[in-house]
Order: sequence, then structure tokens, then C-alpha cells
Amino acid sequence: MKIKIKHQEKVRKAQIQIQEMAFVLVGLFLLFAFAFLGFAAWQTSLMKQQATSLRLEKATVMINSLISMPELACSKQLGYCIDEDKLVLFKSYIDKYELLFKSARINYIAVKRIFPKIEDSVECNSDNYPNCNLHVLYNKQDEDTIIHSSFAVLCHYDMFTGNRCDIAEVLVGIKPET
Amino acid sequence: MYKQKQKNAQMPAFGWLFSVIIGAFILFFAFLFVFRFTHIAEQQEQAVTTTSLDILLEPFASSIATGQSDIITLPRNSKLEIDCSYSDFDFGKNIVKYSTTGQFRFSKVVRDKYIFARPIQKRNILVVVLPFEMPFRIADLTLLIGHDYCFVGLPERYKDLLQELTETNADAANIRLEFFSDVNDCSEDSIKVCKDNLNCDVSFTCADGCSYGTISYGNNDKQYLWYGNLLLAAAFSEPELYECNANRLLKRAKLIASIYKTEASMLSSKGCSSISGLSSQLDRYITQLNNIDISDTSTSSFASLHDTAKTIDHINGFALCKIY
Repeated sequence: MKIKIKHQEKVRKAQIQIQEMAFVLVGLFLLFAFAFLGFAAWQTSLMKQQATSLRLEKATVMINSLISMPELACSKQLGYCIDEDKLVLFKSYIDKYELLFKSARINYIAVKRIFPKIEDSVECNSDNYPNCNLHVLYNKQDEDTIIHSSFAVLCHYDMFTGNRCDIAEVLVGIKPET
Repeated sequence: MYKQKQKNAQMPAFGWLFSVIIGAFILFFAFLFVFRFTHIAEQQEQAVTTTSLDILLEPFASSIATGQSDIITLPRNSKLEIDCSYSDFDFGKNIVKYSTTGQFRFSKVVRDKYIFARPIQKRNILVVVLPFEMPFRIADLTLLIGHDYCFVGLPERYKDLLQELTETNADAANIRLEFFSDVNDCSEDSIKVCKDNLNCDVSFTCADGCSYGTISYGNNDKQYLWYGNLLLAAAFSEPELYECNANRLLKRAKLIASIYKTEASMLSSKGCSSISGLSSQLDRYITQLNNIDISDTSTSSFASLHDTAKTIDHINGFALCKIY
């Protein structure tokens, strides 16, 4: 009888030890799982940050490439700037460049004169420029479009003063990759 | 007693069933892992390739500016080929095809670049970006160099330009560019590009101080016209690719000329009288471009185009309101 009780006690003790170990194992598993989830979340946010800065960098290079297109660029004499006289004319040729812009996921291009400042927003055309502040070259933007901007010098020929230059913001809308 | 026996008889059947189910699970996950791993490896290879070819593939963005060179390092000893297509409705396109296995599994369309190359099977490729002006800037020419070249009788200005651009990167890419006056001095395994010598791999002729001329390829009966830096583009390219890209460039030139023509008239009406003759010259330039066939054997069409280009450059150079 005594032996039987001793045996039962041993079995119970062993069961408790097994349970303890199971709890420790579950606890350890949960600890590692949470640590891994935390690390993964930190890595994801880091990657997102890197992707955003890379996208921004690429957009800036893209805007600079657009500005230096021979269709828009100033003469060598003036250097790195947008020729507003060309800009006005380029609008009527934009359909020929549509595939080119589409391949670069560009769906919005505009040049906004920011200095000298004009109070109201006046869209430019061949009759009212340079007394206006917004040249919309290409507009096929949708709700996903991310607009990037960069600053540039915007010059035009003035019969009294020769070449006159203003400061402009170049806005380029890019459809993000899916 | 009977029940116990029946239970014992059922036990091995359950054991087998359990083993089969677990085995199926293990096999399923093993196959899933292998499939995923292969898929990820493929995606990784494609991502590495895309990054390596960023100079060529990224639209409106290039890590190398005009008049510079760089090296593309591909992941393995790879095969790279450039195709071109051209239509009357758009600016045409280049198709960059890449492979490590022999079959071209990776290809991407590039619309804003003009890439000139021969099929390349090499890890390090030299990339040179040159401006193409006729007489105003039309576009940048992207030359991919993956072979050794020997130039015989190349005019000084092209030689200097090429030497200046490639002096540091050619050695790093393990590519030899030689310049001689006699074809016998060339290395045996190099592609020979010679002036007025049809026995070379590529042969070119010059007109008006080597401003333009014709070019022919050893294995091809056709002759093609070149203008300015297009000589170098043609030398590093395959004939079909050169013809297609040159046509794309001429189309772009026509469009730019139309914009400049309208601008010249507009500025002239705004009081910039010094530019008044430019509009008619650009009109002439467009007509001449329409009559040019890049695979024409006669240089007469380019001769008149070159004269008009010189006149345009002269008028623009002296104008108060320069267009380019």
C-alpha cells in the first residue's frame, strides 16, 4: 500500500515537472515570437524610410532630366534653366511625348512661378505669359499620384530687358509602382 | 476481451494514417519551401540585375551625365542584347534583354534612351554617354562597350573624346581601346574600325572634315549615314540597331526643330530681329530631314542638311535671343 502511494506521488511530481517545462517552453516561444515581430516591424519601417528617400532621390533626378530636355532647356548661354517660350509651345506637342511619360509613370507635369509672386492662380497660355503663374504641361493624374517638386529658374525673352528670369517650382506627379 | 482485441486491431491502422497525414504535411511544406526559395532567388537575381542596369533602365534618370563614362557590373558572366523598334507614331524604343542562362528571360522596354551596342557576354561593361548635336542637342547616345576595339585613322576630335571619357574606366572594365594609323598594328582579337578600308570589321568614310560620312559593316552590304558623334555610336553598334536608333534620333530632331521653328517666329515677332532668318532655315532643315534615308549610300542628303545645320548654328550664335 505504502509503495503504491509513493509511486503515485512520484508520478504526480513528474507530471508537475512536465507541466512546468511545457509552460517554460511556451513562455520562451512567446518571448522569441514577440522579439522577432518587434525586429520585423523595425526592419519594415527602416525599409519604408529607405524606399521613401530613394523614391524622392529618383524623383529629383527625374525632374532635373525633364528640365534639361532640349525641348524645354534654355540656351547654353543662359545655363541650367527652363525656357518659358519653349514651355508654352511644348504644350501643343505633348501628345507625341505621352508614351515617353507613361513609361516613366509620370502623369502630371507643371511649372509654377513662385517669384515674382502673383496673388491669384492664373494658368498660362501663349497670350498671357509671363503674366501668369502656372504652366500645366501634362495632366493625367489620379488619386494614387504622388507629386514631387524641385526648384528651377524660369527664363523668357523680353524685348525691353532681354532675357528675364524668375524662380519656379517644377511639379512632377508619379504613379507609384504596384 | 473481444473489445480489447478489436481496439488493438484498430491501433496500427490509425498509426499508419497518422504517419501518412504527417508525411504529406512535411512533403507539402518542403515543396512549398523549395518553390518559394526558387521564386525568391529568381526575384533576387532580377532585382540585382535591375539595379546593375539602372543606368540603362531607369527612365528620365541616369547616374551618369552626358560626356561621362561608367561601368555596369552584372551579377554573373552574363549575356546582354539590345533590340530596337521604331514606328512613325512615337519615338520608338530599345529593348534591353539580359540572361545568365542562355535564354533571355529578362527584358525591359526603354523609351527615352538611345542605346548602341553589340551583343555582349561579359561581367563588366563600359558605358559611355555622349551628346548628339545636329547642330542643337537632340539626345544623349548611350554606348555599351563589351569588346576590345582598334580604331584606325579615327579623326583626332573623336579619338580625344573617347580617350578622355574612357581613360579610367576602360582598364577597370578590362576593355582595350587602341588607336593606330595602320590596321596591322591592331590586336588580333579586337574589332577593327577603320577609315576608308573595307577589309575591317567596320569601315567609315568622312566628309567636310569628318563632320558626317558613311559607315559599313564587314558582313553587311548596306551602307549607313552618320553625323557627328553618331560615328562612335555606329562603331560600337550592330548595323540593324544603329539604323533603328538613328531613325529614332532623326524623328526626335524633327520634333525639336518644329518647336524651335515656332519659337524663332514667336521671338522674331516679339522684337528679336536677329533671329528672323532662323525660322525659314529650320523649315528647310525639317524638309531635308524628311528626305533622309539613313541607309542611303549617297551623302548628298547629309551634305545639304549639314549646310543648313551650319547656317542655323551661325544665326543662333549671333542672335540676342538664342534658342539653344
